[in-house]
Amino acid sequence: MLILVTGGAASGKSAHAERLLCASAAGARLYLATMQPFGAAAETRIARHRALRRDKGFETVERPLGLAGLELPRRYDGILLEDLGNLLANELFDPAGAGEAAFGSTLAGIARLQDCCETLVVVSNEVFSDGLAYPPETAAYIRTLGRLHAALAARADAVYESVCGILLPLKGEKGI
Amino acid sequence: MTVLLIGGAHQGKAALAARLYPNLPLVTGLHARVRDELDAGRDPMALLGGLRGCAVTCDEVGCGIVPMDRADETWREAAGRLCCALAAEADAVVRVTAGLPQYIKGERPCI
Repeated sequence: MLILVTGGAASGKSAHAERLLCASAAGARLYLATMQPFGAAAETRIARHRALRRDKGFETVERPLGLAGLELPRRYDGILLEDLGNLLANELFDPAGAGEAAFGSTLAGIARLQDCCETLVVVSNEVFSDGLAYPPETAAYIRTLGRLHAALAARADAVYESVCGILLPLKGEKGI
Repeated sequence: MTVLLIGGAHQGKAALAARLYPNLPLVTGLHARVRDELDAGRDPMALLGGLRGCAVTCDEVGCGIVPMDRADETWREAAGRLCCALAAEADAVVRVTAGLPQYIKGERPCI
């Protein structure tokens, strides 16, 4: 099963994603962290997410990019990928990333994760509505993330948007 | 009662709030008040108590690229967290587009 949870900054999407995963994956759970701990803001965010996950029985693997080649020690009931926006930025902008092949590489990485678990929950970011003009690299990032959202939503069993901590079902509503 | 009206800028949130909730004190532009609090060195979450019993409008400011400027990023986060906290307490949360309400929590009053 594939579930996509999107939302703006500080919209409560992580907490909902964890809840959704815990509700559908009773046993072994993996948290796949994509954020690279560069800068104070990233470290604050990572610490907040660690506190949210505490005592919920997650193993944690940190992997900023290249998920298609990921080898995991076991099979999981549920994997929480947090988050797609970071993963794509790493694939596009990190020297070790896929660069122009980031779209396909990211989709292949998500397919790989689905092979390793029963339920995959993907957290992503609504970055599409600030109305600002950006340099070509950032514009390509926004465009590619939008394409990824559409591609994932098409194959997902359920899609949600978190708004002010309220989870809005966009596709395949199940018990929330 | 407490009502939160969110949405993009210039969507008619305040006018809608005045029409749907004429008896509630109206607080507009919560996102700007959050910015003012941060600029003054105060915790914006402390605004929460004063918003109870009001109709509150706030621009949705979190749906863009992470700002390069640290103060902008902090503001965006603080506005989002305060809206989550207010929405959790609110009797109704309304997302306003083109002046039209979508109730994402609670129900529209009978007027």
